[in-house]
Amino acid sequence: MTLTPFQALDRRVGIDGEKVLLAVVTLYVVVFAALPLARLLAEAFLPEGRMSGELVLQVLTSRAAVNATVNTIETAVWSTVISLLLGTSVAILVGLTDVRFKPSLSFLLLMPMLIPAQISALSWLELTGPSSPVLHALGIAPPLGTRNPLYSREGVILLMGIEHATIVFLSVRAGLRVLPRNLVEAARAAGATPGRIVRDIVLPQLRPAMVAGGALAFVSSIGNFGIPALLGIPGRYTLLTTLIYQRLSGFGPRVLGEVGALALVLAALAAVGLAVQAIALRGHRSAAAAGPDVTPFRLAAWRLPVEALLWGLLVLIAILPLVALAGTSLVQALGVPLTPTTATFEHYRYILTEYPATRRAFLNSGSLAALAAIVIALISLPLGHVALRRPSALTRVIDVIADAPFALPGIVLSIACIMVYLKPLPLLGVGLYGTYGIILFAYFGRFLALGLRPTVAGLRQIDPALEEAASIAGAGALRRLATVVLPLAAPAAMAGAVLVFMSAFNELTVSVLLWSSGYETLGVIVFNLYDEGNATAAAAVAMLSVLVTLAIAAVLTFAVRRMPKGVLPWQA
Amino acid sequence: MAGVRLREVTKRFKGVAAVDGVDLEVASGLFVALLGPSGCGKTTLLRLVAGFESPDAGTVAIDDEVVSTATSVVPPERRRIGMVFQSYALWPHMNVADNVGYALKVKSVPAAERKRRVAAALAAVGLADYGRRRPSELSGGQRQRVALARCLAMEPRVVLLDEPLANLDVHLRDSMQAEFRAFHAATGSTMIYVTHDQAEAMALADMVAVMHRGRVEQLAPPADLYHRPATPMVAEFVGRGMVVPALVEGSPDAGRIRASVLGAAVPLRCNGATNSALACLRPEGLELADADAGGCIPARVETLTFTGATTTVHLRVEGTGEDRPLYLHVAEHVPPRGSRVGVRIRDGWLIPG
Repeated sequence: MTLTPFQALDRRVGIDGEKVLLAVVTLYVVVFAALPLARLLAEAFLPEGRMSGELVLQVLTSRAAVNATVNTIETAVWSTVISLLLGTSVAILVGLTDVRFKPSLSFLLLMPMLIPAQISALSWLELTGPSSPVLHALGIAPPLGTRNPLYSREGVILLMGIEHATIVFLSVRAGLRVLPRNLVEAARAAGATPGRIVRDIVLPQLRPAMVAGGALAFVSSIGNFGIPALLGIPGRYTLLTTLIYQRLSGFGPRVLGEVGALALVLAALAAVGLAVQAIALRGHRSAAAAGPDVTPFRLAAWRLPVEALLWGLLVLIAILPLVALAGTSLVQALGVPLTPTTATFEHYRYILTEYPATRRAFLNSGSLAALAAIVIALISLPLGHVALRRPSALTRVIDVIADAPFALPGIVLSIACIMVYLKPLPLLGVGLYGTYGIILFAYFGRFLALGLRPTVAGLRQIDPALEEAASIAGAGALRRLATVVLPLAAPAAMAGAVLVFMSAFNELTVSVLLWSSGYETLGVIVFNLYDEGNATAAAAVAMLSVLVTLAIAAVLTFAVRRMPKGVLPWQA
Repeated sequence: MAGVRLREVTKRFKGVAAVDGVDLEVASGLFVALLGPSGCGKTTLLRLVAGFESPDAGTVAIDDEVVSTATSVVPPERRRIGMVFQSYALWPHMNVADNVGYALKVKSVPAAERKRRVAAALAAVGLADYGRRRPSELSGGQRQRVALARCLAMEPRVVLLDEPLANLDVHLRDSMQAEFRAFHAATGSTMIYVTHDQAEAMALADMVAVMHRGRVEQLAPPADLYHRPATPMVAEFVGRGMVVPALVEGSPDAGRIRASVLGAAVPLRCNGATNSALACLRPEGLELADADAGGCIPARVETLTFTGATTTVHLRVEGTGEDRPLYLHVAEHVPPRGSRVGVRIRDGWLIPG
């Protein structure tokens, strides 16, 4: 009797295809997540590390570091307040009242998820600056030469607040979904007005969701690089992320010990936020499928004004900056009014034909993102599967470590990767620093959690009995994975892969420290072009990458109808 | 043909024993039901036999081959068993024929033979023309038939059924019960059937194992469970028997023993054990008499429940300090609520355990 490939494989590995899977996923997580983070800690706490106690103390007590730390905390706290106000009020208005066009309103607030921070920052600068095509069209542009008001502490805080309102919105919306409808109905029966119900019943119930969302917004602010880079550096308002970037790009790897110490501060601040989030969610994580939605409050005469307010706000924060960005990419030169006759594709022609780095960046970012997406989707299936079906102390540790590179600021991971790959690898004799490989490896770690979550959501919806039935039918672990789990979880894993692609394609925070000439990413190109003062070309590149992202999001949104609920973060 | 034997099997979850030192022997070709209230350990026991759970102590053997010990477990895919799940567990991405033929494909059975066996299995459950359908296009009853055909096609040594009717409408259950009986008659395979529904267990199984708190209280044919319960739990769980104190007065003679139950002298059926102090009464073993008739237990009518052909009369025994209510069914001459009556025990069983 000839053996099928599966039988041969099952036989070769003995009974335990499962052990093979576990070994593979463990290896992946160790290499791409545990190793860099462990190295960073080792450099700080082992005596032979780059960051001896003395150096760390010296760095951390320096004026620049103390200032940057204070600024970082201040920015994170105030921007979190803005995110909480914005995200919670929109979530409650959309979730609990009878305003119309709810899906469109939700999508607008979720736009920042699809647009990377540096492009948002660029768009806002184009919206508010003296050469703003939008303000010019309205005739209220400040005179040329006026300093953009966003180049300031307040600008950084405002934009981060808007950018991370999405996170609070998603968390509060999820909280509203599991709010038992009868709590609200009982309060109504008791005669409470809608305002009172929100204050006395809804908000207290939503507190864990708000705290968790706020904590995540805080962590995102701590790690944000795009906004402080574009707004803070010109405004001389330095945060930890921009300080690290300036030091490392100014002095190179010899200051690795110093920036490593700063990265640890960054990681510690983020860890505080993550701990708060974990505490807030304790016991709320498994809030099961909700019952019917709460019957919306009727706004009656207030509906139109509330709708106008919501649309005005969301158009201002989600649409107008992009319009300004598009305008800037089409003007002949900054300050020249934009009319149908003056509009030009010259900047697009320039970046696509004359500026070779752009084409390279499209290829680099495209291939890096595609490779990361494919590899992460392939590892997410066995990883999620093992963690879900064969939970053990080991898989729980793997789970936490797999999340860490995405939860912690991207710059922390970058520095950790430089530390690991600066010297040639021990056995291979090849160094990865300054190559395509180091960015790819960093992405493998960074975006693992992003691809893993939808996959796990998909896996969770597979009845364990389906796999047990395959087991009864004689199928070994690897065959079960390939013939039962894979076909059923493939749509979710695919959704995860696309999310990874979209994030990695536009990413700046990780690659800004890892790129080298020839290995630029799109994010780096936008940032560098703007930094060189070529705002129009930067706008054109940004527009192209936004269009790619939005197109993918649109395809995914339509394709997702066949997928299990909950795999796309911006979907109901 | 294969039998299943469990020896001293214990399985703990977080320190709590779900299955607690169970000895159970299922003879080859027998249809055994595991019956008990939810949380009694019956599903865990089934999953131990299947190999999805590993025992903390004890051994499981199929066909005299030890398949589970505390240290080594033959995985389910090597046990050559069949299983029917409560959720049917049909693979939604395969059509009916692929579902039924999957095990044969895994075993590399040649395509022609596979096709023949799939067709035969589908014909046996009356779904010969459904091979190309998707599971989602079938009704619940049809899905469970496919699951049965899948089991049939793999020719297992032992068939395990985990509450296979729990998701079906009441009116479908009867026809599926007939299906299971036909399956058992046709294959002669050993079957272990988990259910919390005693009517189902009694109707289907050759032997019923009543489980309680991780232990098998009694393994017996259905009629024995009802008439000769081994423990108070079995007496109360099966057929809602009334368990009352009994004072033994004498020694057993020809399966009978004299005892005093609620103040009345009664000959109880017994199995020879005399150190017991509890009797099991059934409503059909009781009858109403006048309040002051001799040899009767004085009682008061508490509530009346009309159930159609009969009325159930709930009684409170008077004067004994005994708080256990009795009940019986009467077709006519229903006493009014609150009235005093006498109860005569015509038949009872001295619970040995």
